[in-house]
Amino acid sequence: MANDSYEEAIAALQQLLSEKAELGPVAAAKIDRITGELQSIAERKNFDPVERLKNGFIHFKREKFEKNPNLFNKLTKGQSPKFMVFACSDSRVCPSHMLDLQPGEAFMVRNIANMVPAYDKIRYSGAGAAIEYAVLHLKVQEIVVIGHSCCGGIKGLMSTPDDGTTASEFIEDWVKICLAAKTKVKAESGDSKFGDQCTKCEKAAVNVSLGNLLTYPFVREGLVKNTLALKGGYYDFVKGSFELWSLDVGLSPSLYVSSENLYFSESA
Amino acid sequence: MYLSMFIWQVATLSPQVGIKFSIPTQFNPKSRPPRRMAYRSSICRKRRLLKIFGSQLKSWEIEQTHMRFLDSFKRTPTLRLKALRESPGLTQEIIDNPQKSIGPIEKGFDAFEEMRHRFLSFKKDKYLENLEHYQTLARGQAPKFMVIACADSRVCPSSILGFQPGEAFVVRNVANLVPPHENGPTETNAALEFAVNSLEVENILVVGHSCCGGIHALMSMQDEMSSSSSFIKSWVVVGKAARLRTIAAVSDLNLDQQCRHCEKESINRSLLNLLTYPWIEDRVEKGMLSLHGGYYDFADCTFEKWTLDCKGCRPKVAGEYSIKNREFWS
Repeated sequence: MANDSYEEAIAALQQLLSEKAELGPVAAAKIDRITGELQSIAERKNFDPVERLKNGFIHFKREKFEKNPNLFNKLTKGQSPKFMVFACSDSRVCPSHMLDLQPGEAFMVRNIANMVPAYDKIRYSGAGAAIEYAVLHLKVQEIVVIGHSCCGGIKGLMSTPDDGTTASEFIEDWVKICLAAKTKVKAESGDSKFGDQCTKCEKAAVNVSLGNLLTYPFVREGLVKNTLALKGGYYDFVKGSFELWSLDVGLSPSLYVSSENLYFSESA
Repeated sequence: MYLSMFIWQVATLSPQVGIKFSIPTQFNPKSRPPRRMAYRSSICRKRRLLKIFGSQLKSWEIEQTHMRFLDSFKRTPTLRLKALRESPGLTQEIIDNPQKSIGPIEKGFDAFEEMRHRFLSFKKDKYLENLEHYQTLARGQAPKFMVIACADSRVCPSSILGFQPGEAFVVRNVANLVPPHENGPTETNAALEFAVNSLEVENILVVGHSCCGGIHALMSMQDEMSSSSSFIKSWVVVGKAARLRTIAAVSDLNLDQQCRHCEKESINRSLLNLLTYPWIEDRVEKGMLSLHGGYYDFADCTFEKWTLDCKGCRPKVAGEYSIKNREFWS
């Protein structure tokens, strides 16, 4: 039934429908779907990536660079951002948009599911390099890990079979950094719907990443000296909300024990 | 040492309800240094929620109201009022128990007050103005670009190239490096796999920039092969091919000038490393994927862009490549 020409294909369809009128609605639905696919192919062909980049850059130059000469002049000499941000690579969640971060404000790492791996110089030198640079060289004051709704990476983590089989070359290997989050969610909310489990995992994974930040000695040092703080965030673009929380690390008053009396501090 | 979590929910504007703002609960002034507010994790379950309904409240008004409520908590810890759910009005609902005394809001959170304000502005000016678009995006993303850019705070691709939500899948790492396939799993190639195989992006753009600290570290390394306690060196050594070519080409120039050269050379090395991934090479050969390089010079705000000419390159043969469609925007 292979027909090379469009006209022949349409004629054959009309012939079939004249014989089997009950197939009309089925044919209509399929034709709608094909029309939609062809429309997006047409749109793709009309899209000029270079033109898009050029327009974007010229707009930035006119509206931002030329209108803020003091800021950009200062930035040519160096950067001193207060924040280091870990955000997902997802095209919908750039923190520059939702938090209106300006050039020079945040040293930003973006990866699948905004994960921070534990200290490992062989496997995870990329993340470690970024944290080391931000904390020791740029001396950022806050590290913020921002998760988000409908995260494909977290969905992949939650969908990975427990027997360890993988369908991807690198993705599953990466997202298993936050396997502890998946285990926690499955244990606590194993009966919930998959979508709800993913939402819980998106937030739990942020906390796993915050915990992983503590495996870097320069981060621990910054926390103890109070020159660095860690925050977690969650951007829900379905509801249009943003949550922010802090990981607090401190020393409780010491416990004094003597043979005469036992003194317990109120925080024990 | 103890770890404690507290929840500070930045004010949210949800179309249905109004403004939600929650504050941390118990605070024991004896156990914490005065800089921060904190409480134990066991107490986190008992959350005190302050609900303020009424969209006419501006952010500073919320701040004022917040402080008044804190005072009243001190005096009457079990204060409980009924929440008005239907009409806008000021409501206060405390879910929980006797509180210990509460300290002042710490100065360290001013930065987050700023973030709250910015998010609310984004929500009002952009999100709600384009609600249908954001709802479409919530169902799925179909970006046409994947961008690999540096983590440098001055070169966010959303700013300099004006990418809007949904347009570009972005990976940012130190010195915008792409390791070759043979290096094994890294964060960058997990993102590549997702963007190319799942999202099926049509363009990959590697964006480098001037005064790159990572490239400077690469060019300053005394001995790239020596083991080092530094993470930075362990990572930037991915760009060693660019360093070698730079030294071979412009060894007579000073370090800064060599770095400028290396910044661009490294972009091309990364583009060639992209072709070491079979599923990328396959799509490029079929014309489904294009590889572009970009260089942002923020001293004079110029952008140079080029495309890897894959018909003309034989990357597996001594790293040869050619480029086409070079443009310079200023």
